[in-house]
Amino acid sequence: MTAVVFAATSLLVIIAGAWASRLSAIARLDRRARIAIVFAIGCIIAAVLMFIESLLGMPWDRVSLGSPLFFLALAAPPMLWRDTSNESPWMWTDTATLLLIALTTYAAMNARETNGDLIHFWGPKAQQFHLTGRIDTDFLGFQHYYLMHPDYPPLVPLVYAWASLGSHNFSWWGALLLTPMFLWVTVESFRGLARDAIGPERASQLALLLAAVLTFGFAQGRAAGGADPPLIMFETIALAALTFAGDRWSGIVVAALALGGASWTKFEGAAFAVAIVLAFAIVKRRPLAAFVLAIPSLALLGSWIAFADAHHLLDAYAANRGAFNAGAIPMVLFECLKSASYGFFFLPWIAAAAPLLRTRRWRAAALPLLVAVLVLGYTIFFYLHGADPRWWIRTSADRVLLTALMCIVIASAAAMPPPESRDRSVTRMPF
Amino acid sequence: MLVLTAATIACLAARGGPYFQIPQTVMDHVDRLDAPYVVNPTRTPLAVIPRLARFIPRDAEVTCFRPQFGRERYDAPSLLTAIGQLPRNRVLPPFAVRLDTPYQQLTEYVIAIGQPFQHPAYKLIAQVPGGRLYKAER
Repeated sequence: MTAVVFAATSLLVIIAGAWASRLSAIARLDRRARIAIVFAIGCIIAAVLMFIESLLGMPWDRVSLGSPLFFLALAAPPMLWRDTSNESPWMWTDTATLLLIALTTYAAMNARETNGDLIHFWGPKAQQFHLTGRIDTDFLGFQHYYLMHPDYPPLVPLVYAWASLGSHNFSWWGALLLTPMFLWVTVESFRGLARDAIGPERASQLALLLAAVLTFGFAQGRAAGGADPPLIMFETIALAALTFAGDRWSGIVVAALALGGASWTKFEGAAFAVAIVLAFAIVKRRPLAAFVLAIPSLALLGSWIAFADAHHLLDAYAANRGAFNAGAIPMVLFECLKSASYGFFFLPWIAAAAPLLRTRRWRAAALPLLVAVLVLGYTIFFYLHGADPRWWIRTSADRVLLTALMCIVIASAAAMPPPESRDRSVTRMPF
Repeated sequence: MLVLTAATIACLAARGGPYFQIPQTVMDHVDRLDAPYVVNPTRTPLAVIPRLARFIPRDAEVTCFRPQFGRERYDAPSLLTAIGQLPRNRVLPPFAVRLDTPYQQLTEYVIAIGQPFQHPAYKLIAQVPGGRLYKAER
């Protein structure tokens, strides 16, 4: 029961992010996709609110967080909840997607894909933050808790601490229950953003493909309760917004906000933000838009690093994680390739790339493909640090590589011809 | 996509049953229950620590590890698990439960996972399957 209350409380972040549905890139979506993206943006707003109150020395409680939430609710347009003329019809692929999310829910709640990091640091941090009502820098800075990564970005423990306010305590099972929720938001956001570009039917089919790839990846990589599901959620929204709505300023703003969320979720999120800004600048050649894309990430990550520095918590961001080890290149490539096979002969890569290989519209998919290449590049670069990164790769690469897999699914969607010029013989999906 | 879903189900099923019972801990089926202990070093601490927590007063200092030959050793998975499971206690690493530690500086409580802990200053006060709780006699 506590887990359900915990998960239900996390849904209140929708109120914090509801103002975002005034952005035309979100307003034009159908209700499911609109609420999904608003939830993701709400997670960022809630975390920022908690961070600011922590800076001001205000302990978190239902009044200190509920009051700003009330004013944010006033900024929400009523159309957030309403059906619009733009609604997508329900299809069999939507039902299949829900079944995959049910499978993830079963796997998470049957303790089959729990992430060790939930037990080792995300959970303890969230619990301590909830008990002290602030970002507890004494706890983070305690030298014997160094393995908890004192300067890791704060969004995940903050969202968990937010949810703990409703359940009166941190819930380990509740944290697991949020994983299928993040998966649903990821898939629905992608479907909604892709719909106008490729049509509702194709968007729903490719959303099912994304759900299948991520359900497999979460199970194989034991991602539940960790930071990878929310990270993938932010990354998917950012890349899908740029790929399908990147020609509009509101699409840029949605992507920029999502990149800010990614930068505040995991160390790799900041690297993804750099990759996507770089790829966008190269492919679209819009320097001002590329700069706007980077603003929330710079502001959020900059403020967190300054906070960590002021409390002597800097570690990973101060590059204290081992020297560059060029001699490990063959071993790192071999281990990464082994992890990338997922023990099933590279099945998720084949599934993700199959539609792209059929349509072969490489130019249309240039942005997500370039991002995928950059993601693989920085992943290998990170693993080339430390004397023997073998264990590190074996325990994390299958989750980290999900970002590249997601990019390839989006590339497959981007390669679909627009609905009006569709030729079924060319674009028929392989399922 | 059907193959991918079948692979997901195969991957989850390979982690062993029971498939439709409420698990005891959040790590119960991340590997097979009969897998070697080292495969999933947090499952036993997760099962043991909450059951011993009721014997430990609030704010008391505690350490947790899997003893080796009856002695303390640095055991990060048990330590990190204990930090999360004992939020109202001060959880410390096992450096202060060595034989040469002055008695006044000994950590008050020791949770030993698996093997028993042997130290002349510590007395066993509670035992559950998979773990024991010791208290320093100062």
